[in-house]
Amino acid sequence: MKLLLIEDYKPLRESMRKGLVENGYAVDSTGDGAEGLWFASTGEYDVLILDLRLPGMEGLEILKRLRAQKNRVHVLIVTAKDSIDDRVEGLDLGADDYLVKPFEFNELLARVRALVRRKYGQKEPVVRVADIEIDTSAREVRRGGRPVDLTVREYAIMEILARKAGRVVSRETIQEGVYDFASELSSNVIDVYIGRLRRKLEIKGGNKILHTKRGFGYMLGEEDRCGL
Amino acid sequence: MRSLTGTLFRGVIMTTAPILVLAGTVLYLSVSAQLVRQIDESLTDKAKMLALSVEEKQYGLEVDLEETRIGNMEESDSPEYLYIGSLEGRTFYRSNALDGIPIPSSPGPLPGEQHDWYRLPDDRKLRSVLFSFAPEADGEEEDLESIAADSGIIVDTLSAPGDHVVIQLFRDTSSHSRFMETFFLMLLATGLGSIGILSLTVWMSIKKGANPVNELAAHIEGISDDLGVRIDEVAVLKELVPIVHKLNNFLDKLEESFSRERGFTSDAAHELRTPLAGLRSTIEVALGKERESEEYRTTLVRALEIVKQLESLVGGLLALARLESGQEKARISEVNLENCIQDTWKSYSKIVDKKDISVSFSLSNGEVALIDKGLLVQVLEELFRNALYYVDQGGSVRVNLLQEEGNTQLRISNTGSKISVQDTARVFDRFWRGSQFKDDTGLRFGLGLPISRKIVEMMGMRMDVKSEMDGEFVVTLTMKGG
Repeated sequence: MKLLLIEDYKPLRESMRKGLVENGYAVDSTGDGAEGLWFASTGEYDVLILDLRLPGMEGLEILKRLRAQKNRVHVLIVTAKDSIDDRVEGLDLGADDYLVKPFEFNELLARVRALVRRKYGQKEPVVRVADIEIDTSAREVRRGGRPVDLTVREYAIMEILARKAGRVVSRETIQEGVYDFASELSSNVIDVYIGRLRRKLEIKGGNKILHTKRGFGYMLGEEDRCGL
Repeated sequence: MRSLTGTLFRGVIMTTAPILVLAGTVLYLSVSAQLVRQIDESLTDKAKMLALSVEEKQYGLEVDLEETRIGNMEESDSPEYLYIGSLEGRTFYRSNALDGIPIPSSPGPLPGEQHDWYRLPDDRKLRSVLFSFAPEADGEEEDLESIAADSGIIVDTLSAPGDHVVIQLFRDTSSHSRFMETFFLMLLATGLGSIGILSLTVWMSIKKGANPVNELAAHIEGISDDLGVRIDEVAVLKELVPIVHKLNNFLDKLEESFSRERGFTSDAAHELRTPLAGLRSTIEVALGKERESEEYRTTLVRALEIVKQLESLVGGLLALARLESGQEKARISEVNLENCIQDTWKSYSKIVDKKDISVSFSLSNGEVALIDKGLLVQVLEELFRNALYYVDQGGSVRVNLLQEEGNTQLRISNTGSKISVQDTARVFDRFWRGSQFKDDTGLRFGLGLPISRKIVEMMGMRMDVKSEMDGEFVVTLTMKGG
């Protein structure tokens, strides 16, 4: 899952980014409003975390311009402005949620998860694909009731594939959802992670669940359901 | 509590009622005096006619009572009574009703008619006319015996031929008194009625007239809840327009002041919430999982930095609050400006070494100002810090001390300003940092210049700024008198 964080106060921006990355999100971040608008307009993000008082361009102006561009990114405003009028204005301009500073980090994570679920049209935090269960709140994966121990990155790839289960997900899409803008990656890093995931998920002699579509990408799901 | 309506009503009635009473009294007295005058004229005419019935005959004085018809006069609605006598008080004729009335006497002829009031024992009031006259002489011979037999004729003698006779005619004024009593009651009733009608009319008029004032009062009462309410100056009475205009102006200022205070509180809260959020987030993320001790140490260092920023922010806010409440007092002394500027600059020279900029000073020798040295150093530090922070790469900072129109001016300027001409005035707004401002160290809150200006004003100086986008940013301190 990929997030864009626009916050001008560096200590907060860095701690938020660190916490989000440690929770498996790919995070692009900036402290400048105009630069933030450029990121949001040109990149594909699941959630935009937006401060309101920003140098370069005010947060509400960014929101207005994004909505004018028909950009449907889910926006979570995180600001010190706590009046009802501010909240109403932010939500009316197209924000999906509003969080007042200072906040508990777990609440921020929960709100981000909720917005990600909303993006993929899911009400429940548990995503099921065949006999695999992905609990997006607890960040746990089970197959056939057996816990699967995944690293943060592996989990992030697993969640991307699970949310698009039955569909081919390109290597670039996975890469964008797991790594931020500044990351420099070797071309086969995703293949390496997919290999690891496959080893952890699949049992010898069991059904294949993670499929490679050569030249296109990867797909999570049972063979018959995937039309294979 | 006194009301406007009540006060106006009382004022009008208290003014009008005495006028009505006075007018009634004057009218009453005029009518009474007019009536008395009429009575007097009538009595005088009648007495003069009666005087014709007194003749001096060769045998003495003769009064023909038949001619006077005194009997009829005494029995009329306004009875009249007659006295005829000599100057020395000898009575020739006296109506019976006049018992108890003193008999007039005089050493010589009376100078003219005399009018007077008398009261009879039965309390009737009489008006009289009194004068003396010389009876007409009648030389015609008459039979004295036949005259004596005529009961209507009184014959007497005068002390000497040609002596004056006194005649006094009285009239009972009971009917006049009754008329005046009736007239008084009519006047009283009319007066009271007039006051009643006047009160009602005045009350209604004042009530109607006070309506705009009451409406204005209701409007003003409603303002306490909503400072955005304004009174329509077109809708009020012309006389109230200056008051309403002043009130609206006052409300504008009050609202602006409240808005500024609200903005300040909101800004202060915002500025405090953000580092607090940073502190909390830093600590919570660090505690989110087990880490190496070095990582915890890094987190603690970051947290300490944020705490220092918060300290600096709170310090700035407190300084501003103290300055605005007038708690800070300047300790004025003679300060050598050049020395003060040079000494303060020393601690910033290291920054200059790190930046590719040029710095120039133009300071006159021995310039002395009456200021608080400690506060001036505080202001200079802020201005130097700003100039060195915002100066562009390869740019310049200039510090000039000069005389301008009899005042000493200190100008500190730097190139590479990111503040437009339009935004220049806003540099003194608390927490304003400009849309081009980019600093994520958390150490620049937009309080430095507002605090500096307050300090400068406290010392009786002035601070002005001039700026052009990508041009020079100039701060001028003006010290009066040099």
